[in-house]
Amino acid sequence: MDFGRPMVCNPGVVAKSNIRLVPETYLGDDPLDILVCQASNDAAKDLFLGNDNPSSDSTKKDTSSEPTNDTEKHLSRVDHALYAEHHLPAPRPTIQPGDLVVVFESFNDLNFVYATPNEVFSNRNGHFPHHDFISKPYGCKIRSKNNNGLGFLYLLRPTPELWARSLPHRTQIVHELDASMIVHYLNLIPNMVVCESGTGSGAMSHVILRSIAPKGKLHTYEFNKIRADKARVEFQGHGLGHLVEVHHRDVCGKKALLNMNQQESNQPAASDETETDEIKDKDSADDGKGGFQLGESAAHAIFLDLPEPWLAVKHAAFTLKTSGRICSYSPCMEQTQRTVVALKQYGFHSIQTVEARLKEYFVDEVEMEAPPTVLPAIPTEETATLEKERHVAGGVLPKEDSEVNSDIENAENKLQPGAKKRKLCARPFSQMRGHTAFLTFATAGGSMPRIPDKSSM
Amino acid sequence: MTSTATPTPFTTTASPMDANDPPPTLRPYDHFLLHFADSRQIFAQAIPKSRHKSPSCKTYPPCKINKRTYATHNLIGLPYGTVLEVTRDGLLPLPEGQDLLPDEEQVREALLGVTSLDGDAATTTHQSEMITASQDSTLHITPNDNRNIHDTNTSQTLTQQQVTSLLSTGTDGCQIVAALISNSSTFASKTAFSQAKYLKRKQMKYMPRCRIVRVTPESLCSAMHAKDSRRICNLRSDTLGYILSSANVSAGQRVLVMDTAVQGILSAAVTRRMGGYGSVLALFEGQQPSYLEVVQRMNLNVMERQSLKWVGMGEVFGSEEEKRRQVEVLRDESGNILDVEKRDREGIQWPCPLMSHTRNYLLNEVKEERKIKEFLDKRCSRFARKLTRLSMLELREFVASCKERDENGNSVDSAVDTTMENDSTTNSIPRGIKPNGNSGTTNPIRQCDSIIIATKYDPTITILRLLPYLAPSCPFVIFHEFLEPLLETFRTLQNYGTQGDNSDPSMPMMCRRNIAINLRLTDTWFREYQVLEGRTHPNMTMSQNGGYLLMGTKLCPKTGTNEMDPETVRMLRAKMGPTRRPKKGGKEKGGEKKDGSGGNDKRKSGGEDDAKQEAKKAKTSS
Repeated sequence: MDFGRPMVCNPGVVAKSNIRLVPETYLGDDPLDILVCQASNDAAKDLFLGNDNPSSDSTKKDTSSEPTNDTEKHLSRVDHALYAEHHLPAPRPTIQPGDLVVVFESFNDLNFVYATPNEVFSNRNGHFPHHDFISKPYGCKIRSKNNNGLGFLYLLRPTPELWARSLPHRTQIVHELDASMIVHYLNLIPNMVVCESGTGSGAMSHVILRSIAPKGKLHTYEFNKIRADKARVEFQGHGLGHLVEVHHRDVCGKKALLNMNQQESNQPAASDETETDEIKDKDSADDGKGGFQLGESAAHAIFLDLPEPWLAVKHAAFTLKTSGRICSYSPCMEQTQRTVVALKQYGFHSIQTVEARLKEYFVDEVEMEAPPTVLPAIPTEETATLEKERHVAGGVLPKEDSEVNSDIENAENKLQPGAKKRKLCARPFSQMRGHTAFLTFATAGGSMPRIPDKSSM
Repeated sequence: MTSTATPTPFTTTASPMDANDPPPTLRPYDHFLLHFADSRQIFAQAIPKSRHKSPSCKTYPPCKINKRTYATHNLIGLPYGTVLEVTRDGLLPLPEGQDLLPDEEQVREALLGVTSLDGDAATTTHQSEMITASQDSTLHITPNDNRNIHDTNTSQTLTQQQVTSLLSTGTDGCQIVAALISNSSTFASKTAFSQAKYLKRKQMKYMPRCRIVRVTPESLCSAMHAKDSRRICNLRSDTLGYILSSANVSAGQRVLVMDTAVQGILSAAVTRRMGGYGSVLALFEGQQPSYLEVVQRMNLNVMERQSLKWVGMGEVFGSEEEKRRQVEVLRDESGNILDVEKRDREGIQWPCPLMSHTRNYLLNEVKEERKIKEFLDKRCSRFARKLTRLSMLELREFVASCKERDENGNSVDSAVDTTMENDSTTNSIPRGIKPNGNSGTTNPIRQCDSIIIATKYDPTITILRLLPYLAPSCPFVIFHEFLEPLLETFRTLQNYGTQGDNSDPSMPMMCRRNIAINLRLTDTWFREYQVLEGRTHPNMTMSQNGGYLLMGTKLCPKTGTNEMDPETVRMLRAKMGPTRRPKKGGKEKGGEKKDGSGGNDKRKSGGEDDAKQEAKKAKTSS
């Protein structure tokens, strides 16, 4: 995807500004010139370090000590040359062989292809040779080769949202509104280190990757080996391999927990045994101990999409940096409750559980007619006789002139100009996704137990 | 200068942005938020005691709680997440591990010390036991309920005057809470949950605490929404998150933001999400953006500030002719355009030596060293600002480089002909093209990767004028406080050319021209929960509206829309046999299509069916 591409850098106006630290005697030995240099250096520090400016720290007591490495590191950043503008190169305007293309068939039918010469994409509307796709611009409309070209589809540039709607579902995927909220509430910004468990179909991973590019790292954990391997291949294929590391691992460490339970009870239940065997079969690379294996305070944010997220909370507390954010995604309130208890136990604060739903509207132009105003005809002596005669004759008597006239009048009434009004209207669709999951967010506290202890399990 | 004009691979240059750790502690001049247990959210700034000059320092009250101003210098260096106690002496940081609500233990201890007004020590002890009981309460049968509690407003024997006198004598909040509990005749007969709730309420009032929270797009938006949601057109935080995702905002992109209706929250949020990579074109009205204060609260660093480019709305919506005229005036005899701002900027040296008259002024008139320093500080900051600012002409050139051009290199003025507002004479694909001839726009075209609109201007006209700035197959999102204005926009984007009374009702569906597909009109429903053992439920009040969104994907204007003329379509249709469409008004029925969906022209799907299909799909995938 586009955000995974290497960036180009241009000297922006800041990089050209030549603002930097200068020796105090740069302009000469005159005391006034020295003051000018000092003021310039201060302004440069303010500009580049902003609130990080070590010189403005003087109110703090502990900075009175000799300049630390930290200050030097700070000051080395006061240099215009470091602040070139980085941006993604202009997106490739046309489709090249091998590109991932989202095929927009209709609103609910999205698909994807890797443009490959000599292959054909077929759906109910016709056959579309990939050959037609190549070197066409993204956002174009393609006509089918058969069916007289009546069938068509659109080719779109992939985004994580479009990908989520077209991808092969290996598991239930995180809904796009939930995914957007997770990234937003986890405060993800470029270059962060994020952990995700489990990977599932990889839809959420793509959304996270977009917000941590270009130099961030996503560690994604999946206990199902097949899914992990598939995801790895997929990320590579989308040009995101440098941003992600797929771990085949159960972060909860259920295997170890189950073993412990067995040792404690000394009489393992039959069901337990089969379960552990199953895990053993799947997990060859996984040591079964759980945890993220990244060391202490390694991640800025953690996203848990697990059946038993509370088991992973202590590992998350160990792996998260202070003030790092965590999100747990659980469809059931019971899971959420247990997770909240675990979060409190491990020193997380600002715990917030929310739920969001997407309501979509159907737009239509509605034609509204004024109610009819034609009065019902009250029978008169004349019409009554006529009717009687007609009845006697079997209803075949010709209409009289007056009747014909009134028919025309009625027709005119119906066609009264201006009686119809057209209005744009909207209503929500009659069905919606009623529930996806409860999202629990929390912030890691500074005083949480750093080493996962066994007693609290 | 190390950087060259030619683009170099990103990996060769190390950037200070590479380690993009959010600062763990409060730095001087940082803006931050204070979150209270009663969900109040207050903006504050850390201002050192001796006020330094700083680019971000304004005469902004450091922190104002309940009409009282508190100093914030003692908070500098504290980690985010620290809990503060609001006392009469100021904001006092509490040790780590403290929560927003004080420990119940504390009140219990105080309760043991307090004798109620009637001197009945026995009840007090009993009540302190009650609090203990409330802690390990689960779903057992509760001994108490409200069968004997009557709302006569007489249960509290402590009078208002007594409480105020306690407050004015500087009694500890904890003591007051204890006194209130011990003087409440009904406390003991309340259920454990009810007691906990009572205690919480009293603690929030008499032992106020708050937490230092980082300003992020999320916390910024929720704080502003909580403070005055009308001012930001009800933009709720979850909607903001959804906008950022649907607009595909990521590092390195070029994003056009027009957010005059939401106080610049979107510009700030997009800038932070992009982390200083790429460019944000933030449109503003008037001479300068009126909501810089909001953007400043994000504590943007130099890279982020550089990526955020403020563009006057006239640059985008103004006529090309007028722009050209403005530039022509600047042309000198040899035909070159003189950019005064740029010339001045390039003339500034760093550090800038003093001119002789300034030197004289400082030596002879200012004299005092402190004042000279102040003068020089201001002078250098001014130069730094000037050196890091694009000139108006450079900015104009930059904006022009984002705009679609036709075959002749002239910029396209609108996604469709601007005469559409008056009357469209033909149903052909019109395009308003105005001769450009501005030789200044030499930059290669690099259209925007997404457009985000949140204004009170007509969304239809706005998006049609902005679409030429958007690259094909890229998303746009329009936020609006109301639903109705977006309906027209939806219709226009979906069905341009067949709307209005001028359109030919017999024209086949196939000939309508959609400018964008994947159109969705949505709003979000957002609910918070109280999760407590045995007491889990949604919050009693919730926000009913977070604003409406219209989003879509732009189609390629050349190859993405209908390439067939009505005659060909009729011919094709005749070949294919009779249509299944009812005779009456193909257009109205066509409207049932949810958007410009592809597929077979003959096939027709109702929007309702779409929703059902989607629901079915969701069911099968779960």
